[in-house]
Amino acid sequence: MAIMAQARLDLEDGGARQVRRALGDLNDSEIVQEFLNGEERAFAEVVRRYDKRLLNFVYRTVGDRERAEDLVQETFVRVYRHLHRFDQSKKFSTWIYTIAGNLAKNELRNRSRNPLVLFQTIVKNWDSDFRPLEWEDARTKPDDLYRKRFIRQKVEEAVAELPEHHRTVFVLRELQGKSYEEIAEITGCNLGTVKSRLNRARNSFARIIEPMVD
Amino acid sequence: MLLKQAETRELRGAEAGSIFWRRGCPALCGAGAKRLLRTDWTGRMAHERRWIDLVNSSLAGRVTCDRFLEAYTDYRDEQLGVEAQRAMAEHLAACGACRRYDRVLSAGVDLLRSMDLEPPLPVAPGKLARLALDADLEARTALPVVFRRPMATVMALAAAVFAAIALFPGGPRSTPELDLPAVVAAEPAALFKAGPGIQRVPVRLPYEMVPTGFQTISRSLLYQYGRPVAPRAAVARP
Ligand SMILES: [Zn+2]
Repeated sequence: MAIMAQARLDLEDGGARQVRRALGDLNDSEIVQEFLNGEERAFAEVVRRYDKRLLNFVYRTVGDRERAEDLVQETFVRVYRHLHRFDQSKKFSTWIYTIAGNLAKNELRNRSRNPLVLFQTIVKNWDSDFRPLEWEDARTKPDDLYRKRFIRQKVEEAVAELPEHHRTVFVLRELQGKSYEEIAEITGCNLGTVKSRLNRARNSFARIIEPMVD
Repeated sequence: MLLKQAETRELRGAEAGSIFWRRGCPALCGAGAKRLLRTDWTGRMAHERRWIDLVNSSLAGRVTCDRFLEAYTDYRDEQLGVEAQRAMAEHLAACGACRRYDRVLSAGVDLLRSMDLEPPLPVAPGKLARLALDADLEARTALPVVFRRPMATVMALAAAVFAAIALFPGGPRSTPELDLPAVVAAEPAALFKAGPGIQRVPVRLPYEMVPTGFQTISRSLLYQYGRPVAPRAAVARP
């Protein structure tokens, strides 16, 4: 790869930034190839590309930020370990989402077997809910801020209330912009199932938040 | 495959969306029909296309609120043909209740998107590499599950044997070759009347077995949530 070869030459002159920039120009499968060719820094680029997306996907699925961060890290560890086994005819982003999705699913399964975890989560959220309000802008009426915060909370709760398999499809489509085909692969369902779950999830979500929206 | 060869004859002629019931055994029927849907992927795709064609042609006429909601997911994700997409947009422009439904959903989604979390500082690749090495090492040195949880393994094996005996008393049957349209499995209206000694238990089959477009869920939900939005009486029945 000419870009990478040039960047490596530059690196000998101390240009780590050039390498990073060159990696940034590659597409996912080229990045994977670089990593498999022994370019360890390519993995930093994978992390840079996916950590925000995966954090939000997993967070909306499990509803707990700290656990979501742990699970995203675990996702990267698994990708690191198994990248040599990744079928390069497939789409890398689908593969990494599948790993993250399975970890999130396991987390929810374990949680339902261990109610204590759920309780701890509730207590943690309860704490942050009851922190005194901080007004971001003194000129804004407290009423408005309170209302905004209330609506945000309700919208988040509406997602959390959806059954897990509806929620996953909803988050992948509406928040992550995945196509039906990709969602089908990530969740291991057929297209019809994806569509019917999405339809139901959209309906339920709209129904829950309807009273809050002007 | 849990359906007998003779039973698949009924399924083969079934129209997409028709109701099939394996007498006396809803669980097997459910698993069987679900399996059919899964294995018959190309048939399923054909069904999907037929559904889109159906929606396209039915939307060429007047779009009612019911039709709008049925086709909403396809419309939102721009899966419909040009004509149908335009007919839907026209309905949206003319109908307050459907417009509100669309607006509520979009507003909620926009709000959620605006609340995306920012990740913490990325983990250094060196640390990830170390964690990966640790995990590899652990996987290599871990005892197989049969040693770690001997009782659980024995019980799982026993349960599997019992289940196999219960499901296939005469040994496993071969899988019949099938070329089928999508089929809905659902409880029949009434097999038995409730009475002394007979209790009616509602059977809930997995909803994903219902082909898209034959669900009435959108409609019922609009009515439910829509008290201020789309009063039942106000929605014109086609
Ligand atoms: Zn309408």
